Amino acid sequence: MYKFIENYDENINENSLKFSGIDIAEPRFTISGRDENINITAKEGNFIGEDKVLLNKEVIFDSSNFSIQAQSVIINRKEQSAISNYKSLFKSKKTIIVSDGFNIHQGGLKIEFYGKSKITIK
Amino acid sequence: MKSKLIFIFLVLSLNNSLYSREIGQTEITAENGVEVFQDEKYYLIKQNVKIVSDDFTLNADEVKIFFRDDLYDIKIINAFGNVILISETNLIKAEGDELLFYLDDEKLNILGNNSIFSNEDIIIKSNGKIIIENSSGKFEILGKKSSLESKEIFIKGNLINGKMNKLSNKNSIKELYVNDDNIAYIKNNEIEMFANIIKYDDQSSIIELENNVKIKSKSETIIGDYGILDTKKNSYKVRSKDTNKVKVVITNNNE
Repeated sequence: MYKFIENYDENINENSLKFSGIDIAEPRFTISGRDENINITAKEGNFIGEDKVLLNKEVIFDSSNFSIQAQSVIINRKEQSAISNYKSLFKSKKTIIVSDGFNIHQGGLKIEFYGKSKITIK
Repeated sequence: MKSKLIFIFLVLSLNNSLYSREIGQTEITAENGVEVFQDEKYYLIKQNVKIVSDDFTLNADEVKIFFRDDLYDIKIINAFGNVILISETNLIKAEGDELLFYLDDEKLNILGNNSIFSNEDIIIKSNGKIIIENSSGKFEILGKKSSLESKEIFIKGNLINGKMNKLSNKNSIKELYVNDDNIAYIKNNEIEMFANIIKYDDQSSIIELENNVKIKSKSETIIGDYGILDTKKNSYKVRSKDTNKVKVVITNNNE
């Protein structure tokens, strides 16, 4: 279940958002997985469909088990998925994965990393 | 702006730190991505996979890695397609269509046509399955064209199993069982042995042969149903259920 929590920056008004072409400044979402919540933050967000939100700049997925950083991600609130075709950095305990994008399914139970990928295990 | 710069710096610095593997780290690279299955506790690494660690290098078309609770806590590596495992520290090389590496038990399964396992002393080949347990020294070779070769011995059969012993840095066979419904074969120094079942025990130094037995030395060939060869004394005898059936062919090279 995706939940749009709040627009944090109270100084940004509706006019400035329209002018900048950004629907949401510093958006925050949560994916409710079966075992854990994944908190998603970014600098900018745009609605690109009924259920889809494009997140741009400093997009971070954070849960108790892992975090993912990327520059641009599309989340689908209905399908509980998130997809990115940009270079991403996954970090969990003693493990780092660098890839050319990712796709989170089933509230984080399945994560696909795209393209040339490198896993480093410490 | 400041936070953005820190973020970019973090991503860049982490990327740079990944380019070179540090001691103690395992580095896995692939051409076509990784799928992580949290429930099933494995990740699938796709296309031209290369795993480099302090102890070994593994190349394969695809690799499944099974973990316990976290991704780093690996228990099984299952590699598929053109698999090559090299351990320079243990002087081991393994090749096959599929490889299963159980890290806790130090157990290696190599499957498929033209499977090969070698260390500094032996070469094992099979078109079926090779199982090596490094900790216990046990091995099992199953399938067509199965063989084990060292400087001292050559063994061929559809089923070869036994135990290795590492003495003075040299792998030697401690126990051996060879079975082949067609014919199993062992060549030891100057003696060749054929039988459906061949057994060897290092403690007694005795090679035991059962069914369709043939022992061939430079000077003679003996055929029977049961044979015993003492490797220490280099002596052998063959008997038959029907004593008249034992056949000896004497070869005199001086004549």
